[in-house]
Amino acid sequence: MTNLLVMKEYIKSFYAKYEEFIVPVLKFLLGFILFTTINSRMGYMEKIDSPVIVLVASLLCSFMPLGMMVFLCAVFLMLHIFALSLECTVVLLIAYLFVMVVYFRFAPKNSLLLLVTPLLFMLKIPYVLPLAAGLFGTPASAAPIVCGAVIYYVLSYVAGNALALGSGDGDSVLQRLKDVSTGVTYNREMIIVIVAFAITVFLVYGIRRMSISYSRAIAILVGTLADIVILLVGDLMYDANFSIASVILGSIVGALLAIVLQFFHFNLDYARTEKVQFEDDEYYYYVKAVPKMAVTAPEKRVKKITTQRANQSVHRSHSHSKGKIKK
Amino acid sequence: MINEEKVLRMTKMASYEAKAGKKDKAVAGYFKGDYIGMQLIVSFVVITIAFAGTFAAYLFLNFEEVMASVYTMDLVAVGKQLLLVYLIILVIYLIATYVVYLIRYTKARRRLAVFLEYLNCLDGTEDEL
Repeated sequence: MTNLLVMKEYIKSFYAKYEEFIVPVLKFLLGFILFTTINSRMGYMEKIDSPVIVLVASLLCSFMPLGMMVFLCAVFLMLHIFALSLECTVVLLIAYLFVMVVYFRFAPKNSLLLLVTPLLFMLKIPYVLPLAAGLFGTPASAAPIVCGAVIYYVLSYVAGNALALGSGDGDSVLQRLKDVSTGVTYNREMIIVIVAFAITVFLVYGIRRMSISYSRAIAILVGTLADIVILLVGDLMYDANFSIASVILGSIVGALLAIVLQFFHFNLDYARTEKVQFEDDEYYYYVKAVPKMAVTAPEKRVKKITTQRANQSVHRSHSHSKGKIKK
Repeated sequence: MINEEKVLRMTKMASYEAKAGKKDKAVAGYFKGDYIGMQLIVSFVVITIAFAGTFAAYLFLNFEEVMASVYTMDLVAVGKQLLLVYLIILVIYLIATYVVYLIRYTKARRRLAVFLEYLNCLDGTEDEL
C-alpha cells in the first residue's frame, strides 16, 4: 500500500512538472484513438478515411479545448453517415438535436465524458462511467453519459444495418427513414441503459457526499449493484436481450476500474502549475505558482546487512585484541 | 520591497479572474430571479423548437397514415394528448433547468464573494503600507 501511495505521489509530481506537455500528448492520443475508431468502424466516406487526415485532426485537437474534439468527431460521423445514406443522416441529426438540448444546456464542460462514453460502450465496459461521473462529478454529469449512450446506439444500429441501408434499393426513401427512426427510438436496450446509468450517477453522487466513513467505497458498491439490478429488472420487464454474464462481468470490471481511478484521482484543477501576470503601482508581476505536494516520497536508504561478513570482522577484531593482550 | 502576502493574494485573484472570474461576473451581474428567469425562457424556447422539430419529423415520416386518418380521427383528443405530452416534457425540462442554474448562480456568487473579500483585504493592506 505504501508503495502505491509513493507511486501516486511520483505520478502527481511528474504530472505537475511536465503538465504542459502531458496534457497535449494525452489529448492527441485520445483524438487519434477516437478518429481511428470512427474511421475503422464507420469508414463509409473514403476521402476522410486516411491516416493523414486523422493525424492532422488529432494534432489540431491536441492544443485546442476538448470542445473542438467533440465538434470534429461530430463532423467525422456526419460525413461518414452521409456517405452511407441520407436517411441515417436525418436520424443522426435528430440525435444531435437531443445532445444539444440535454448536454449543451446542462453540462457543456464535460466534453471528456461525452467523448469517452461511446468508446467505452464499444469496449464493453461502459459500467465504469456512471460510477466515475458520480464519484468525481456532479449529477449534471449524467447528461453527457446519456447523450454519449444515445449516439453510440444510433451508430451501432446504423453500422449493424449498413448493408441494407447503403444498398438504396427496395423500399422508398420515406419507408427506410421510418425504419431507421423506429429502429433507433424503440431500442429498449438503449432506454434501459440510459435510465440505469442516470439513476446510478445520482445514487453514487448522493452516497459519496454523505458524511460517513468509506462513503466512496460504499458509493461504488451500491452504484454497481444498483446498476446490475436495474439492467436485469429492465431486461426481465421489457425483454431487451441483455447478456447477463456480460452485464455482471462488465460491472465488476467497471467497479474495479472505479476503485483504481478513485485511488489515483487527484484534483487536476488544483494541482496545476499556473502562470499569471498582473501589476500594481510599483511592479509588474510574472508569477509561476507551483502546487505543493501533499506527501514527499521518502528517500531511499540502502542498508546492507551481511551477517556472515559482520561476524567474521567481529571474530577477527576479537582475536586481534586478544593477541594484543597476550603481547 | 515586495510584499509577499500581497503577491500571494494577487496571484490567486489573477488566476481566478483568468479562469472562472469572467463567467462568474457575467452571471452575478443579474439578480437571482432575473438570471434564472432568463435561463427558463431560453430552455422554453429550446424545448419548444426541439418538440416542434420532432413532431414535424414524425408527421413527415407518417405522412400517408396521418393523411389517411385525418378525417376520421378525433382531432381535439389527439391535440389534447399532444399538448399533455409537450407539457410533461416542458415541466421536467424546466425543473431541471431551474435546479441546474440555481446551483450555478449560487456557486458563482460564492466564488465572487471570496474574490471581493480578497480585494477588500488587498485594499486594507495597501492602506496599512
